[in-house]
Amino acid sequence: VSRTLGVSAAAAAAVAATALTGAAATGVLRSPQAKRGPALVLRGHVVGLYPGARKRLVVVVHNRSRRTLRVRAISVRVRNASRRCRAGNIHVTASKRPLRIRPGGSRRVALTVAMRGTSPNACQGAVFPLAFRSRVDVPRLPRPKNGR
Amino acid sequence: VRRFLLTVAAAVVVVGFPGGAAAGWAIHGSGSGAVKAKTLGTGAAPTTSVSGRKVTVTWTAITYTNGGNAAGYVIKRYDASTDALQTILSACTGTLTTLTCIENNVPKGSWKYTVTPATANWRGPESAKSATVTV
Repeated sequence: VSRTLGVSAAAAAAVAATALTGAAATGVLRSPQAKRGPALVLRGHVVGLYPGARKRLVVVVHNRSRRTLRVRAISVRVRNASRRCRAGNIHVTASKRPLRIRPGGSRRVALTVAMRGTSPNACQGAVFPLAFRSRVDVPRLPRPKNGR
Repeated sequence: VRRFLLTVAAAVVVVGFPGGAAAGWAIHGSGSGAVKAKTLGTGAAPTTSVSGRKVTVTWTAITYTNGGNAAGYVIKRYDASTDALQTILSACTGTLTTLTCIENNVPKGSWKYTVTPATANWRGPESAKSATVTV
């Protein structure tokens, strides 16, 4: 009996540990009120680039969780627009400015996007998909005042 | 058994909450977006005037389809009867940043001109041909 209990407890512990660490491992914290997506969602679009041009790319960062989140950095990966218009024709600056976002709130972050002066004719009208990623801290929970 | 269960429970706390329950933890946010480039628009056919062997070519500014002027223009000359492309002469060669140019020493004949917007390596659609000019 004791052996069975031990094995069951170990299995339960493994499941619990996986469940608890799963959010950090996959990089996604599921918000309780929105089970369909990540807790922090980033969106940003810009139009009107041409060779040598620089534009402001406003990224809206939305916190869907019930916790205040602290965004430490935002990085952007540019994908190819086409086989003849590669991602290297665009450069997007990353943001290292810390950002604190309340539960359910949004903040705007301005990045800079530039197109190389040597971009080929194939880049006319091209659409470069962007993939945003951010490193986020969940601030420490406040200690209860009478918790000594 | 009891000691074992306590050990396992402690392990859960350590693995599940690194640093303890009061500490924050790190996650990643994600999302998508896009950057869209402009497209050069088509210009109107240029106008021409002749004086001796000089042809003055004039055109209007050509914009991108979503605003803003092209950085430069390329002028081409065609034989009015055969449509054969000719070698453009000074001072209408290369990419021009002006809205007019004077082609000198144009050979005798009948010619038509076009204008193409240009920004660095980008080229827009070529305009329709101008009215025929006879030198």
